[in-house]
Amino acid sequence: MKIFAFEEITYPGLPGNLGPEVRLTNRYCDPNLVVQHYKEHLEELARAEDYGFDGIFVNEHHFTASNNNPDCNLTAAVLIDRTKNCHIGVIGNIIALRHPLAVAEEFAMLDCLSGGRFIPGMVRGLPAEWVSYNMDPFTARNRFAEAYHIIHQALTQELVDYEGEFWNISRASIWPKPVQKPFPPFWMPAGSLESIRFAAENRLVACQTLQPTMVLKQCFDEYRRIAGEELGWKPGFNNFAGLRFMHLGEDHRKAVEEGVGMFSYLMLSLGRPVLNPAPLPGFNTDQSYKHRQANADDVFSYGLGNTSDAASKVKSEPSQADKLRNAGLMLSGSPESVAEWLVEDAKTAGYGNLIVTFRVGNGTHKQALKSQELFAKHLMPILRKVNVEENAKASEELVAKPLEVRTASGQGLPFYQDFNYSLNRDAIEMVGVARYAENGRVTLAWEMQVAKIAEDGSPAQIIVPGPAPEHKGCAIQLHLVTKDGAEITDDAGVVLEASGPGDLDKQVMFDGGYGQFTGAPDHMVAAQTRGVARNDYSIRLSISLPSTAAQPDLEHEESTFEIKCFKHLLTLSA
Amino acid sequence: MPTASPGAGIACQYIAGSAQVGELKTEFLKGGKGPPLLYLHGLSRSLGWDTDNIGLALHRSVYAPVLPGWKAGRLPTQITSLQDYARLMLAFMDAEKIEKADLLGHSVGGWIALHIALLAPERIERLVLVDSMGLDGGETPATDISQLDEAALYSAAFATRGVLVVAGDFGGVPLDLRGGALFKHVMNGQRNLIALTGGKCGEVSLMPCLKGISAETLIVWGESDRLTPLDHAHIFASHIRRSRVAVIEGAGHFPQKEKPQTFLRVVCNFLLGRDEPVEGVRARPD
Repeated sequence: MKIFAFEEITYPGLPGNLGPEVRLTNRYCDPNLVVQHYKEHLEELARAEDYGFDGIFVNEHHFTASNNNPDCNLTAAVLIDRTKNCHIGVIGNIIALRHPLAVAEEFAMLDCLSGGRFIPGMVRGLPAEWVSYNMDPFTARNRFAEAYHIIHQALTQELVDYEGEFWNISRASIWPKPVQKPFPPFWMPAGSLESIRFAAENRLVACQTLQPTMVLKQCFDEYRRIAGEELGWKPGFNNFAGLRFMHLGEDHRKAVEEGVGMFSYLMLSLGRPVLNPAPLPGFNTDQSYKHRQANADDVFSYGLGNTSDAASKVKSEPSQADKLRNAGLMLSGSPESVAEWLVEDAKTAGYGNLIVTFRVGNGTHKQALKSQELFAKHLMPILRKVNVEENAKASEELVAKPLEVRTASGQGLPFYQDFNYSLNRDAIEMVGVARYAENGRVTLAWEMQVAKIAEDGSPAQIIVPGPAPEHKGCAIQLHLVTKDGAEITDDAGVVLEASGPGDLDKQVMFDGGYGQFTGAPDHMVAAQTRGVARNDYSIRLSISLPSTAAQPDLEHEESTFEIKCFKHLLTLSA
Repeated sequence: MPTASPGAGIACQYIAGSAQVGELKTEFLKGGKGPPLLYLHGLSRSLGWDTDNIGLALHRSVYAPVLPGWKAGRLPTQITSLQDYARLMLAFMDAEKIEKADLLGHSVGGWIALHIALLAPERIERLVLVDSMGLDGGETPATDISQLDEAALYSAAFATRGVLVVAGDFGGVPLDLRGGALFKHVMNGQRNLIALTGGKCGEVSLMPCLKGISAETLIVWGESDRLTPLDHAHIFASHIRRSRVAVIEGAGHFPQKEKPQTFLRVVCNFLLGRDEPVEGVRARPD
């Protein structure tokens, strides 16, 4: 099993006597405490590398004292700078509430900053966060899905084109692009049926926390069922992650007592549902928890939605530590007392990634460091042997779908997509139709001319992209009919060329037969070589046939062409 | 009709107010933004700004009055019939300067809503009847709620046996309907209805009047409702001219509690004029 460190950066200085009517605004925040707290948390997290953890995760929450980390990409960047080898992940960005391209750019930056150690992750956000952002929760799932597809495209493709309900992206290309190729799968919490399905369909790593073992098992089993029965692939242990809150101490009884107190404080810091007086509708459907019906007696009987109640119950009820543990909320005690439960948890649920947080609630820096040390010494060697991926194939299946392999022949490659201009019969460059006869052949041509340089000195170029490793060249579409409307014969020659004034710098971008067009989908073929028509250059698309053959009528409305090229205007004053 | 939601932040904010309507004080909750919607509760009075209120408030200014007398379990002397409540609610609209509103009535509230729609059709934009009481006689005899003990009332009111998992803030939340505040208030409502009608959940004289309802009407029904059986939905639909039925699977008399997400999707689609299928809903033709 792979093991990762994680921490919520819970604000430590909340007064303990706040009533449920008190909203935790930043009136209770002393930023000087946060300054110190950041230093401590970052030190604790960075130390995980020294103990041999596979990686470190950070997450974000907003408008809450429970986690003063509203942009986990920032803390990830700091951790990248403080570590050398371990993975640094985010779990994750609330991608539906940010511009997806901005998220993609930051992920690419984090991957480059870390030299390929970054693990991407995303969440839909807590309902309370949607309340403060004042967004419509009924849009949450679709916004999330759209954002993911855009981010994934941006990180794995040269260009992003997306037309959705919430986002329209046109040919964006992010800089930098990530180092990792293929880019690793995203991690996401998946508790509802819809999220589980989304994760399985996209081969993501599904995470669960703050739930009993059986809930994790039900969620991950559903993922495995969908992948196996409906999608035809077999997830490995690495497709699943369990996150557990923990406090270890050498004195078992003392650690148990401390752990219960820490978790009570975490509940307190989660805030009160003042702005969100009841569960927010729209995030899920009534079908979302079908897989949970048989297992309703779980964590939330503790009243997570009502923190004051939860806190008081935690203090007053007997065997509270056992209840917290069995509910999957908090493990505390000596390393030996926790080890058995954790091994059983991982084996039963079948996760191959364990994320552990050692600083919970108002736990101190010293307590967290000690807990982490005890974990590394006593638990890590045991847990390493659990749920090890049996073969590399399952792991390989984990990787995001790689970029298509490009071949020199262009087969399977797309046309050049970054065109911004179409040369056609209506283009301003069009001069007219020319006709030449020579050696028993007749050549008809559309003649075009790139304008002279502008009065302000701004140059222009028309670039016809030829084949490249990523594409097969720009698309040339051609359809030719005779004056009677009949399509001309396949043996007609077709040439696309450009030349400068005085017929200098002649460039032939296509030289072939009309049959290539009639044999291609949509009459569309690729340019064979790159051509650049500068100011005052002429461009010619010519068709030649024996003089005895039926000639194309280039003035006929059904005789058309389109060259999807790039027109480059340079404004010097810009 | 605007379809953009003002957002969850707006929809979650509400005030608790009261309006003096004649001699009676009417307490109400109000929240959200948009055209007004009057939400009349059923056997259980409103227990706070709940998930269904928030969902409706994403698109409407929701007024959720507590029927006078319902809270204390003692009917005011001024109220002797459902029509009295209907007139009171129209006066409440006057007091709140609501000229015209969408009207949603659940259970007893649906019965009152029907009378409002008959008394002042010009003041109703759209009508939503949720497991509405009101019908009696012929093929649809009304339940006599006075004959139901606690176990029978629970069995008649809910499709769920045991604990229900609904969507909560941190994933699935178990909800014990039987042991929760909702069912206690249902039992209080049972006493109120007995005081008002002797326990009958309908009136014979209402059915012939239904053709006078002109508002476009959505009839939402829990398929397993045994207090107001599903047959009543179809009788309503056959008498109310511009109506259609949406049957929510796996719900009883309280679809807004047992299937809150489905309930909100189907009701909001209707209010917004959207024609989108909703999983877990069987539609019947007009």
